Amino acid sequence: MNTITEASILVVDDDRDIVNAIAKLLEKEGYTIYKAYNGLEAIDCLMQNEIHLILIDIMMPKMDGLSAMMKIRTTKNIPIIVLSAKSEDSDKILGLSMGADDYITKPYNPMELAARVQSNLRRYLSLGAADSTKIGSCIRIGGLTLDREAKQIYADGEPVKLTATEYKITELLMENAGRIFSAEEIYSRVWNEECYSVENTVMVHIRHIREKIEINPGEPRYLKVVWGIGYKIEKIGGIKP
Amino acid sequence: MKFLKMKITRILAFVAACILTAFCTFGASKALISREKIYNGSYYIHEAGYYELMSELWAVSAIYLRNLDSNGSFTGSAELEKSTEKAMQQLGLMDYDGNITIDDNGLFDYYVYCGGRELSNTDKSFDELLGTDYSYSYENGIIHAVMPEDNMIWQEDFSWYSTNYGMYYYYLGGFSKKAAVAVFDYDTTDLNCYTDAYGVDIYYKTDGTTPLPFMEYSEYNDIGETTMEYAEENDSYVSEDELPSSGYLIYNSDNKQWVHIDNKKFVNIPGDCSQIKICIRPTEQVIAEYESIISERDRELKEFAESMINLVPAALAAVVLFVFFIAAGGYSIEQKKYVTGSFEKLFTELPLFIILAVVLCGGFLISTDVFYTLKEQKIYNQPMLLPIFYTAAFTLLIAIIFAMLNSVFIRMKCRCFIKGSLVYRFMAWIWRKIKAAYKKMMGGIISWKMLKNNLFMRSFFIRLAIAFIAGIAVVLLGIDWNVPAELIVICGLVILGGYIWFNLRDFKYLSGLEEQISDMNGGDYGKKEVPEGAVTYTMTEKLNNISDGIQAAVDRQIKSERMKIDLVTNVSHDLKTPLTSIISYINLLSAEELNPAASDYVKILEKKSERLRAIVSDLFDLAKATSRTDVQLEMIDAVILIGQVLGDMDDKISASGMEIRTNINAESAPVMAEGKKLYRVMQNLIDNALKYSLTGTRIWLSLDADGGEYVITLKNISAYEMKFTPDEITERFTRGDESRTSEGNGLGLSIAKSFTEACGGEFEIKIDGDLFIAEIRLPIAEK
Repeated sequence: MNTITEASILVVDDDRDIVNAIAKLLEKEGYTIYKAYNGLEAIDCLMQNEIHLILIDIMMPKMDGLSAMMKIRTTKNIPIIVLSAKSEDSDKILGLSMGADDYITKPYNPMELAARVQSNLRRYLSLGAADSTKIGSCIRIGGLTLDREAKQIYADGEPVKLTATEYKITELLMENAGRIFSAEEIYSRVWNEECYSVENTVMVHIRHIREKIEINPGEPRYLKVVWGIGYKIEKIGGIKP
Repeated sequence: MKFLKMKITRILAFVAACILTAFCTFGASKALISREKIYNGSYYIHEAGYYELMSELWAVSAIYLRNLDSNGSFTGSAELEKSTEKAMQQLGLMDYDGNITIDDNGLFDYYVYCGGRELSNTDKSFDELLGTDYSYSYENGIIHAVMPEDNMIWQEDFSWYSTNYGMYYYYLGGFSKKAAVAVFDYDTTDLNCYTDAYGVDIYYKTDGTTPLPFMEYSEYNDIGETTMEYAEENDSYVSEDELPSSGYLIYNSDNKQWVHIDNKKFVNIPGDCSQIKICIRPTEQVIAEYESIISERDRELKEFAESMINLVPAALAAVVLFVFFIAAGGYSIEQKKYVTGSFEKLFTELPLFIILAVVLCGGFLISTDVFYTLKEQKIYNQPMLLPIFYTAAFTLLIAIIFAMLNSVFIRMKCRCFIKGSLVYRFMAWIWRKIKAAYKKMMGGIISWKMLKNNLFMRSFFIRLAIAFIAGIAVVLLGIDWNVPAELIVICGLVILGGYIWFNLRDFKYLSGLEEQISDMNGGDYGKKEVPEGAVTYTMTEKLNNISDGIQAAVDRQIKSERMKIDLVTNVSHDLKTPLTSIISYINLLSAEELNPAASDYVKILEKKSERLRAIVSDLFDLAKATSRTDVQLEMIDAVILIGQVLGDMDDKISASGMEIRTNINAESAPVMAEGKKLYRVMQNLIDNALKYSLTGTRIWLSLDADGGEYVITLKNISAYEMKFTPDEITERFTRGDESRTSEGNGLGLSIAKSFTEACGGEFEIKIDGDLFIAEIRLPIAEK
């Protein structure tokens, strides 16, 4: 398999219509689709076929998504995207900590779903499984890569066009992934000026960066606003070996 | 048996008992009167004149007979003879011819022997007269009497006094008119005389040669005092200290001086009183008469006793009838129980008072002069009158007493003895007044039930009563009864100590109650235990019940919240799953080659399905916020948040063409909130403002500190007339424009309100004409 579009994807959901819809959507992109309707079937399918990515629902009969995922994770490190109607933060955290690489809530935006599938595949297939590491002049956080020498940021391998200020903000946040920066701090370090009432300015920049690097800016994966406090880039654990 | 219970039977029994009482009283009084007659008419032989005769005979012996020799001639000096004769005359024992006169009323035989001289009015010898009864003798200085009445034997000294210096002072028992005489044997010329308090004639001389009868002063105090009184009357008092150790003081009334007379001046008279022998005995005729009277009296006494014994059965019958009358009194055949009559409607004290009055009246009649007056009038000589009087009075008295007793017992049987009493009614009246006053004062009703149930009030009243009684006791103790002040103080301290101890105990329980209430206020609905006697026992029990109720309600509430969350989760899942399919297939459909019309339809479907997704998501958020679970409060800065929100919504704001003016009056505004939720609140408010503001107006966003709160205010001018109340707009699905021409699902303000409240803040909408004001109040967090 040489290209991402040749990848095979396992779609697991007890709702056959949803499975079919996703299959149709992704088949159009060129992926090979396997279907399963519960956790057990998913594991069976995984044993018999070479699968590069799994889209899995949580609430399913026989074996639920979380159990299946735990089982899969004992042998495979392929990307797993959870597709669930459970939209609570606690649900998301649970899913991600159980081994999911991504968490998409239903009802999803089909475009976003496709983009995320692609993003995860690309990262898995072309970039390898190492995440959140600094390799030479590069900082890699999840699907985000920052090349300091080229002053270039790649999102899931694709170069992103950022202004100089935006790049500086992103660089600052990525270098200190996980740390929350206040608007003043960002301003004084990026603009090198005394700050006064800069919240709005910084926020606008943040939003712009988000629109460029995030698949769904409304539900950002990397660049997050900590409301009432500041901004940060999430330190993503990435795919576990 | 029915007959016994009838009222008429009782009345008959009462009447019969009264008649029997009258019968008994009549019989008894008749007998009593006759017995009284016996005593009144009786004759005591020793009252016949023994003592007088004995006194006279002794005086004759001691004064006169012993100075005579066997021939009957006086052996002393002529002066003594004269003095003695005069003394005898004074005593009425000698006439002026020198003959001895003894007044025996012809009732007695007597024999006197002295110094060989005899005096007798009978031919019987001393031994003959000294019989086994009725005799009265003096021999060897001893009186010996054998009396028929009481068989008493007197062995006393006779009542006279002797100076042993030739002067005698006789005191003859007080029976005879001239009971005593003083005789001075050496000089009786110019004798003066006075009568002392005992009627004794005291002779003395005024020339200072004759002594007054000044004997052993202390021993014969009465005599001495008599003398002294006389001396005092004559301004010639001599105190005991001035009395000479020997001899006598003689008062000389001429020069008003006391003169001391030496003992040597007195001459001892010859003769010896111890030789005197006297015996008297009534004559045989007197004795016979007396004995017949005695036997008559005995007979009458026997008759009296017999007549009294004969009355016993009737008296017993009367008693039985009265007992029956009282036992059966008040029973009503018709009602088959004891009932009160009209008399019982009067106070209980009335019959008691009547009984008391009748008893006192009877006692008065018996004890006072009424009967004596009747007796003096010799009414008892008319044999029937006095018994009839007695009978009438006593029967009436008994009848009234038993009638009243009957009333008293009827009251007891009907349990209205206490309640019917004036005292009880008075106390009850006072009690009612207290209750009324209490009600007026405290607004509560005072009652036994309340005192029983409200341990606090009961304790108060008991303590009040004890304090009251103790106070009175202490005051009474203090007034008199020789109680030492220390004891009163100790009592007071003990009472005070007890009072303090009890109050401390109660306050301890009270503070326990307060603690329990505080715990409940803090959300701890645990049960508390207090001993059953504690004042707060019932209160604690009730509070425990309330706690149980609240705990149950809280548990129910938590359970229902959980169920609600589960429901919302399930429903939203059930909504989301088909929605996912719908969106997916619409997406697939839009990718198909369609004719332009179908393509338009798909676009509409796309838009509406997106809208539906938003609503479902909002609904879920709202439901969760109202159930207030899963709120993660952290310290955030509202100033930063506002900036972030404005920055975040920058595009939208500029696209709307509206202008937002901010007025942030704080460097920073630390609050405890969940950033995401507060962001949602601000976002919704700004969205709302952008959506509904009148074109060309400005939106004002401000933040101020107000007391302990930060107030974020958002003001805008509505493009629509706001025909709703602030309450209505925060209701779910209410929208500013009733025609719902614009976008929005009407959940925005509801979510804003719920989220604000979930963060511990207050959310308020105010409407002033077209001015729409949203206010968020968040408590200032300590940094």
